Amino acid sequence: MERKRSSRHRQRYRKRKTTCDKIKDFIREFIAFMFSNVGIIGLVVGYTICGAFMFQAIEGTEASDDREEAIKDIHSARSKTRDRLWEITQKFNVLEEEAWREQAASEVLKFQMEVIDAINKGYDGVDDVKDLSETSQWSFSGAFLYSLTVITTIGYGNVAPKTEWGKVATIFYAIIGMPLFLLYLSNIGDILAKSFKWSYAKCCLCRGCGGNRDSRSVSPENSVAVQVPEIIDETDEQYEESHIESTLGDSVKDDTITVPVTLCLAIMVGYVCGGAILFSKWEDWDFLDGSYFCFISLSTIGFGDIVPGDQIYASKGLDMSFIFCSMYLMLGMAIIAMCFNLMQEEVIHKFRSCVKAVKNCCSCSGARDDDVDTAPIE
Amino acid sequence: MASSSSQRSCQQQQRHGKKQPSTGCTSSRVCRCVRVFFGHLFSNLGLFAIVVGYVLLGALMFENLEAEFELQQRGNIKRYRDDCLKELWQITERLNVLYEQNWTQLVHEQLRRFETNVVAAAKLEGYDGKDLLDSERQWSFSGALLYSVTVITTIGYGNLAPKTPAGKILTIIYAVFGVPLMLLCLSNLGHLLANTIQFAYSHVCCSLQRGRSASRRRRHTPCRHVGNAQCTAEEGVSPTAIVTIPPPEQFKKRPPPPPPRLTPLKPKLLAQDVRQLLVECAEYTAAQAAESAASHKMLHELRHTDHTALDDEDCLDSASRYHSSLERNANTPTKQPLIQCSPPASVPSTTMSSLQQRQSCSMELPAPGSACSSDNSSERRSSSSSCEAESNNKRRRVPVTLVLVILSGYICLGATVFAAWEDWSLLDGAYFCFITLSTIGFGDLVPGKSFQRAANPDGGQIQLVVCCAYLLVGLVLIATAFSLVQEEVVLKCTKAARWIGISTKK
Repeated sequence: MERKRSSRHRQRYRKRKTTCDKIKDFIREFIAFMFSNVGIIGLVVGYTICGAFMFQAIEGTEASDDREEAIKDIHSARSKTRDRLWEITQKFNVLEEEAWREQAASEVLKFQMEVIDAINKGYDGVDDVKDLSETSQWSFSGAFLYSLTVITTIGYGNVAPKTEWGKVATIFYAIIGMPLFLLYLSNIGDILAKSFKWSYAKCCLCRGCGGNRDSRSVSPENSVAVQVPEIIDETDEQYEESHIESTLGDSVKDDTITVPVTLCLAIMVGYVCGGAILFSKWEDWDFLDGSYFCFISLSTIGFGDIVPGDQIYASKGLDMSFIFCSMYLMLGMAIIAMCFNLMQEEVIHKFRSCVKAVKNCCSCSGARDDDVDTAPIE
Repeated sequence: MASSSSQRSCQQQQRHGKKQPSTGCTSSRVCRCVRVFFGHLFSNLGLFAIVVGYVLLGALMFENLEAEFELQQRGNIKRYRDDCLKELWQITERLNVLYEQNWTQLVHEQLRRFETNVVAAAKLEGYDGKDLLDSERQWSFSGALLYSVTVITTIGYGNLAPKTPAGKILTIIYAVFGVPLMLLCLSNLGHLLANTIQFAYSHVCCSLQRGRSASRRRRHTPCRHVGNAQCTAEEGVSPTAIVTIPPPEQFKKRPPPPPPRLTPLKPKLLAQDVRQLLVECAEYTAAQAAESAASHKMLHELRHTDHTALDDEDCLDSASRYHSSLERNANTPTKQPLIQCSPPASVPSTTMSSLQQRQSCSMELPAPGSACSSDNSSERRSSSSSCEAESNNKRRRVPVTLVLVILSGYICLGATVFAAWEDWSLLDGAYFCFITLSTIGFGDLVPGKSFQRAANPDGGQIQLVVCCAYLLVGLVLIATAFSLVQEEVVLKCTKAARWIGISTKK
């Protein structure tokens, strides 16, 4: 009977413990999942959406104030110039062309300067104050693209914070967002690289083509396993990955199949060209502009001189362009991370041999001494 | 060559147990250090010179390509203005009697059209408001220089952007070759600087610690008497073959082996080869002595954990620590180190050093070295027999806070300088520095961009060059910071992640 009581005690104790533990376990699993391969996509998208809301709130009102001011400036400049021109015309009883032209020219020049000033303030051709809210740069999709360019360090600059709070918020947003995006890139690049290698290996084996069988003793599992962060140790995805790894290992027992560098380069070039075609169709650019935009964006240089949806009087298509552009960027950078992952060994090997060759040329005696000293002493 | 031969004679003399002046070997070591350092510096300098040349070449090319278009742009604006004037004149002429309302309406239209042209030029084609007669151009040499630098560092301001098709194609090609080149140069320079800083830091720490502990304790550890720098800064930050010449009294009375203090080895961070080697050594030790709990524990840990390959430092670090614990066990047959840590050369050195370790292992194991001479050589050769080296491994890491302080100091310095020059607020300056150094690079704030700097046309150029220099130095600093703290940060993150994740598994 005592045993029963004690067992009941134990059960009750376990029950009490487990509800608390269950919550903790759930939270921990949730965090682990969020930082795992699949969850990180959601984390990055969520972070960008939060950033979009934040920046829209901070910058939206201020920006429209500035633009209102700019529009008022333009209106006043126009009327001022007009009046002065009228005065000049009235002054001359007999219209002498030369004198009139001279004075009118200076007036028009002044008007031009004022237009430039207004452009600096944010004037972009929208004349009526009522139209401002429709064509605001800081719509939700504009702010979303802005947040994305901050965390990917592309940084277009066509939309940039003008308020102090906006700038401070940008700095802190970037400090947290950039490592998060790097984590996303490494995780997703890993997954994509693994699955691509697996399908490539399957293709190679099925077709029995030569593939790229290296006799180098670097196996794809090891090289890819290097990149796997230990954060994803305990999730269920790990089982899938190990399953993939084991199947890969089974299929490539004797040969080690590395994806050729040319294939990776072809994938990247193909993605850039595909994006160029799409954007040039949507935005009425030519093919060169489209590929220039895609390349500059994907390499995170991000000039911002050409951005989809940035036409002066575009209104309806604005939102979709920005969203599509964001998706293109996220997917494109993941694909580039995958290609780098696949090409990594070969490229590093080649670079290192180049650098070694340069070092050996420049400091011959030093290298020789090194070899002598590190040789085990007999 | 001479120094190596002198070093060899050094070693031979030591093998015969003669007392050695420590200066001879240390001077040769210093010579070697210096030569290796210059070798690295020269190759890094070579890379740096290549990058500088590439940037200058790019500046020349882009200036030639884009300056014409810019002048063309200004000409266009002038033409628009002239057209507007002509229209105005025609309007004025046409109306015989000047009705104000008619006239003003027509004039208004004309002005509106002109304004639209100017806005389109400014927004889409980068017109900056200057006149044809202005000598100052955006695409001057220094402007093109800043542009090239922003392309290969992927900052990409965008205030200057190519408008001609040739310029765009050239930008793409320039970036394809320039970005990897820049990354390579940055990583090399970062490594070099990181090693130098760690060397200096641990040297300072060592001397401080020596000063502090010399008065406090008088332990007979085999390491305290070493005068020269324990902490070398060779290629990597790993403990290399440190020349420690213990004083002769150590061999007269062997201290009783202290209880095996197993410093926490991180089995997860060992390379596969080293792990294999450690398993073999642990098994051998376990077979030899019954009470070697340390080796049993080591075996257990090594067998039942995953491993990932890491760079040399950690593997040699942990290997050296494990070795020191083994040696204190005093159960190895030859009292010689089973693992010789050799200076790593590059990535394939993992296999190379492990090969050498295997060689030394196989060579030393059967040797019944009980003579003082072999002990001498082993002591001299072992890189980890000194506890000071072991503590150096821990203390050598520059703390993360120091690195962060240095970085924020650099940003503040740039902020004050640029704010003073460009009449920005301090926040704007800090914002500009941060956005630039993180390679985001909006381009809304760029030094020398303000239209009101016409007062001093040359000043704008100097500011652009200074901005380039600030940019490059800042990026090198960031690369250095990464290389200094990355292991620590990764370790802490994985620790935190494991704390989050692993508790559920238990």
